[in-house]
Amino acid sequence: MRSMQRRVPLVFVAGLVAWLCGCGGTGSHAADHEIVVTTNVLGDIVQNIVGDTASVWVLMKPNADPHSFSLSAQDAASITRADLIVYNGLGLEESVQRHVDSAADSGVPTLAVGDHIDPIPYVAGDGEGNPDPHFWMDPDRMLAAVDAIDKAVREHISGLDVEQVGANADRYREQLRQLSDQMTDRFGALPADRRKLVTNHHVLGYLAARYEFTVVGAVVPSGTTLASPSSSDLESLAATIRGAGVPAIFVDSSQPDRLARALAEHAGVDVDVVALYTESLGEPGSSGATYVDMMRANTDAIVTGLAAH
Amino acid sequence: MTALRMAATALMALTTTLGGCAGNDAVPPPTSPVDDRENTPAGARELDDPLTRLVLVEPGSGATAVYDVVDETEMRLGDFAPVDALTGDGRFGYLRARGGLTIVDAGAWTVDHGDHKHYYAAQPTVAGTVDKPVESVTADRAVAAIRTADGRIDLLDRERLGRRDVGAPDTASGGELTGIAEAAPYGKGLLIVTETGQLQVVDDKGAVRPLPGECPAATGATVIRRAVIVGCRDGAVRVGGSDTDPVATRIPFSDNGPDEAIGPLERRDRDGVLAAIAGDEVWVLDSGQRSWSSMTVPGVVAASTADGLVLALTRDGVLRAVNTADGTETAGIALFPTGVPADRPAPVIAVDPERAYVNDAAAQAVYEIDYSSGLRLARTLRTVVEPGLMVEAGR
Repeated sequence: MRSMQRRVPLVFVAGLVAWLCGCGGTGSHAADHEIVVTTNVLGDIVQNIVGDTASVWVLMKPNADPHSFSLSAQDAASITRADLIVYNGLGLEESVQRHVDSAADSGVPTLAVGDHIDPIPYVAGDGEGNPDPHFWMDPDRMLAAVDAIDKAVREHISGLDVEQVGANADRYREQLRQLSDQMTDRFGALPADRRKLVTNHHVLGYLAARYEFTVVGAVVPSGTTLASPSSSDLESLAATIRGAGVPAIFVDSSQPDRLARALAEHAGVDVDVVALYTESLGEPGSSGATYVDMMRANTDAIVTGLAAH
Repeated sequence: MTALRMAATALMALTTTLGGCAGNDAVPPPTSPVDDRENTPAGARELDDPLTRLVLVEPGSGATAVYDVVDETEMRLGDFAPVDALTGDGRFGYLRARGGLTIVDAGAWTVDHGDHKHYYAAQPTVAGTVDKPVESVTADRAVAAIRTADGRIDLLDRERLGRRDVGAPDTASGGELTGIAEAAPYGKGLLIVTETGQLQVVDDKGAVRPLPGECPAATGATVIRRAVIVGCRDGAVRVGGSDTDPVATRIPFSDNGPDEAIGPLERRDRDGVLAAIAGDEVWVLDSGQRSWSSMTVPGVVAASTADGLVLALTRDGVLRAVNTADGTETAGIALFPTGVPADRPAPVIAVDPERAYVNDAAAQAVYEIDYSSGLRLARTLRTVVEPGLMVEAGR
């Protein structure tokens, strides 16, 4: 559901951190070092690593999409002044790539995290064979991302409190390891024949590869169709669900309840329609407000959905 | 050639304007003007699945409404004087009246990223006007090419239209551009068919490139997914390939072409199978196979294509599904209680991946047809305006 995918304004957090740091009188003002990050998932990681030693400016606004979000004049200016730009780099940030490129041309250090996480190719769709940019769905690859960010921050930002950064990074690595262990345990409890993600998302490839799920692509009938569906409208999805033999599907639908009802009434398929966090963090206070929260919430949703009888 | 050189210059200006959308002088101009066209504008929201809306126009009064097919609500936008024709591009409706063009934003559109799509919704509204007579409008996902009666081709950036930032259009000709039969956006430039049937591509660098082959008596240009199709007296021309290396492919009618010129080529969304009417025949162009076929449908008044079918509405008010491969009629449904009146504009069959919509002005209704279930009438959508003209948006 879209409502689960609201974005956290990390810029605000960063500003607060900068202010707090200024009062601390450590002599290392966060505002002296600015890291620009394209997406809010990577922004959360960077923030965890640098803590209050640098300010983090996230370009992806609430309600934006990583594939297409625009920059304000202030954003565009901040890019050219940044001490470091952290971005996904695997073709995710289509709309800001040229800003990143031109900042790099003018000498701003950049880190394409995608270069450091051993990307896997899309296995289907028009992008088949191209590297899949959605590596955050695998927490182990996010450990590699932490290493790359930790290294880049030390390398490119002079005068940074490196001890603090090192301690922060270690603490966050431990959180990610715990997350990955929890996910392994919880998914491991699912019977092998239930490890199928029937989905219209294109973002679950890494999660599936890491935790031995099969992604089963589904075409979800639109709201227009659901106003007066026929069995043929639901045929493809119903056949996919029957074939997979799963009690839950993980799809974006504007009318998940109506979809579930239509499947039951017109296709005789009884299934839960479950939403996941995919492209973005949730709103502050939501169950997906941070990267770790988001992945825990997804794990809960998948395990609960697929374990049902 | 002078006129075309001028066109090229204006296209460069257009590119510059698009680059300006980044809104910051500190950043060098973009290498590609496409980048910023797909952002969510202020006031728009992203949806989980596509929103279907219909732009409905009463030709006589110009009364115009946007009908939301999901909510079954109709929003009246105003009366825009007698409207002669309505064309759409998946988001905007272009209302041609004697004095000029009114552009309606249906507030529903889809952005295709290849491996996935994004669906957007915004408030329906009037996006802008062009205050001079217009001959035709052909749009792709980026630009609308507006051929005006004074021989110019105005280019409207659709992303700016979405922001209601119409201003003065970029005019693709500083002077008189005579002898142009059809124009369509092509890549970052323009495809032009002259009245003598010559084909030319103007790219965004200003280079004019004549293409081999010709298209005598062009009957309209249609933008499909990876090409522009132009209907001609002797068949069609498909212009595809890259911006820098356009390829024109003639697709002539097989042995016996139609006795009269074909009408506009209609199709589902941006599909590559298109149908046009010529008398009592429907001519079907498969642009992927580069081939034509035809079928006789007595009394046909509107036709389009969907999933191996031709959907044809006949004067008796019956919608028919005809198998494209063998010409057999597979289903029919009587929609118009008293037939299709001859004294009104022909109804439209608007087809999307799930449904087809047929407008019945006299009944103040739009029929929603589930064409993959034997032309099942899914819903009859009642309207306040008499929908003599219709285009679909959001898909």
